[in-house]
Amino acid sequence: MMTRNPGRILVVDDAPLTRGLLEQALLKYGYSVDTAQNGQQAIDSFHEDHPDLILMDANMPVLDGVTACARIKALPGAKYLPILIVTALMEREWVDRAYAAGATDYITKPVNLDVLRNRIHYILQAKQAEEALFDEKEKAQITLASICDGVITTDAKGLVEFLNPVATNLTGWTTQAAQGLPLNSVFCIIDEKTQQPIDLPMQCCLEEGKRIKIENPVLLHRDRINRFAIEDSAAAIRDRHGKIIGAVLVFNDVTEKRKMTQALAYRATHDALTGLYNRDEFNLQLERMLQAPRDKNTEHALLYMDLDRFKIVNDTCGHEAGDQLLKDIALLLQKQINAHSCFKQTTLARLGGDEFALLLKNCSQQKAFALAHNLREAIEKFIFFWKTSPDEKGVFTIGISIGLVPISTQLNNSKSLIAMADAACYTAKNKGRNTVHIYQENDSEASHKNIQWVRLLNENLEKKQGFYLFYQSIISLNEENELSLAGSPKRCEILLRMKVDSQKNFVLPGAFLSAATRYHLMPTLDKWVIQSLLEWLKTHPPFLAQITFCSINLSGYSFRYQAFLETLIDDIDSSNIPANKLCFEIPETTLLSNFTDISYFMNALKKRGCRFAVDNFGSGIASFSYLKTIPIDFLKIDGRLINNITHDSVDYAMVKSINEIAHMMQIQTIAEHVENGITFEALKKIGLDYAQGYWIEEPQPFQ
Amino acid sequence: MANSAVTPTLDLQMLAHLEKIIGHEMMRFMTQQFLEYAPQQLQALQDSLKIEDIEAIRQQAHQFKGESLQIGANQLGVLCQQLESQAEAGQLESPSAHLIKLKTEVLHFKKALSQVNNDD
Repeated sequence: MMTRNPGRILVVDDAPLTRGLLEQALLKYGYSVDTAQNGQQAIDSFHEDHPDLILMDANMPVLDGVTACARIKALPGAKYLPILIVTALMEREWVDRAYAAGATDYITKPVNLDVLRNRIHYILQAKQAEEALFDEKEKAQITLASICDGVITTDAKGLVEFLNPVATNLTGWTTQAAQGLPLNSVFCIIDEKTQQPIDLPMQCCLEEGKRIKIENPVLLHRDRINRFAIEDSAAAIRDRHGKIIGAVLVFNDVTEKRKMTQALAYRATHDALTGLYNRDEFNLQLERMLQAPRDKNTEHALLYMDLDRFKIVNDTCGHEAGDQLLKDIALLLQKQINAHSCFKQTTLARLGGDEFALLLKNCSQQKAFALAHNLREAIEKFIFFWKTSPDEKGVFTIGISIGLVPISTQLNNSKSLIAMADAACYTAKNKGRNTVHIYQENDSEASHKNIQWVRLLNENLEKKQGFYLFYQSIISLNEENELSLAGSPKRCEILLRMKVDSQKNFVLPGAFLSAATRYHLMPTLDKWVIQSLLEWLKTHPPFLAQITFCSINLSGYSFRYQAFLETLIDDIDSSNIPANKLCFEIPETTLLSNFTDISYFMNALKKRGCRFAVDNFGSGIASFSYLKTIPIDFLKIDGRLINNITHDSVDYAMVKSINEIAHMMQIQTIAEHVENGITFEALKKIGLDYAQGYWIEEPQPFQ
Repeated sequence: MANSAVTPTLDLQMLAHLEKIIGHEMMRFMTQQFLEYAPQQLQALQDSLKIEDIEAIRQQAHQFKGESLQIGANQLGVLCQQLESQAEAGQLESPSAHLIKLKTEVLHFKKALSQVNNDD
């Protein structure tokens, strides 16, 4: 301190010699020195020179040192300025007056320069410490005012001492108003769930010095209207000796954060369409229930529900109607369950498609069975209306097949429980639908078959030669010679075959499609077909060169998986196969139920040059209107219609009109399942563009 | 100080101490200034006596005392102190004689000082 910034001292004395002497001594000590001859000059010098300390004679003419001291002390900026008064030994009364005037200390005349030096050094050091402390305090105050956390401090009794501006904003209390009040009357919090007030356990904090944090979500209750979601913690404030002198409570407004977390949590656990729990959450709750301690008498029940005749609505009125129906059903189920107050702990979920599940905690088999019947009846009575056109209304009734599994203490595997419930539901369907079936041992046998297929499918997907691709030529009806082109087709449909044993026995998709659909394997199979075909085309350039297009079937289930569509597009892009050599067949019914997803997909691939065909056209409602909005190249007319044209005049007329309308729309037509020559000739006469079927060529394996 | 039997004209210790702090040259300058200033102080006292301005006498004595004591002219300081006390009490006892004492003491101090300086 002495070397760098020792300080500036104002020496005030009327005696020139004393003044000079003190000045010289202080200069020698390293201080900067200004001088003044009386109190009045001292005041002026204070304004001009901003001294760090004033050394002032008490007894001076014009204005004495003590009066000057009092006046300087009253000036702004002088609060912390030390003033050292110099008095003669006999002037005791001056000393008292000096202190009263705010002097820091006094020193007697004749001044002992050593004493003076030490005293000044000490006073300046104390001043610096005081300033540092003040700076610190000011910094702390500014910090508290600037941070976005609310801060409240209390004394050792838990009475409020201070609130920072954020705390004032959130609680509505200012420091002045809140000072001395118990913390709990300023900081009122309630449990978000129970809406009950919570007392902060400040005693723990103040008596035991424990840090406290409330784990449950809490709301700060400012007034009736303003409530904030907050997170808070409190800690003891200790003095240098470790004694608890108060507590500090820190809290922040997490309203937005909590809203977002809640929204995210909701989305992760709920089905977006119906608002019911989703499959993941259902599995989790089932798992949790199974892991909870149970005694011998604890009974739970699991219901697996599958709507009957839902597809009709979806297929005839479109996915919008299907979605609305699912929403209505979800609401209806929930209402029925809520109507029975005895079912308190229930979890209702939509597992996907038209499948629902209900978990009944602490519920006997009888009660669960009664509820299942109740639900079935309610669904049965429910009538669904849908406006199919401006003046037409579709009226639908549906049913529900319910499988029930009583959960005894022996059962604790959630996966097998769901499989059992699924099997029971499957049995209910087989028993004629719209019934409730309680799980029996042999139910699993029926679904066992399914499961065997699933195992086989999975095994073959892992094998190199588990599946094979076949093709069937699609020939032009306008060019005579195409019939003889077998083996080097210009167009073909790609078909999938599964190998089931070491002999060359192949299984047609019809055998395993329902199992593959039920166990979500369709996207995997579709992907396998496309990737294998692309690979084959890449390695067989002559075939690729001669073919106009290969037609590939896509399952409606695959469209529900965004990831499937993305990999499909990637695969096509990276294969280097001209995209116009690929045609995708989408069944008419699938098209109707997933219109949005599919048209997005179509547009993405159409840009690359891919073609599209509507498969089995005429099996559904054969609506042309929606064809206008999507880029369709071909209509594949349903085989049943095709093979009836030779003996059913209505079907003949339908095929004829479908063909005409399609041509008007610049869509080409393909006849499926042509079984004989008479039909073939009839189709030619009607004017269809292409045909395929066993009579023309049986499916051939790729060489 | 006033009560001690013999008050020295020059407080050698004080002088040495001051010199140690502010240096020999500055010390010589200061004492020189004191001696040059002393006749003016005495003259001012004499003027005040003439017009019997007791408050002026008190102040002048007070200031002269302070300076004297600060520089080690202890006996001079004692004499000033006596005058100041009398002025404060409002009763001057043979002020002319006291003034002569002061003048004489200034000379004593000057002599003592020159002796010290010559010794150096």
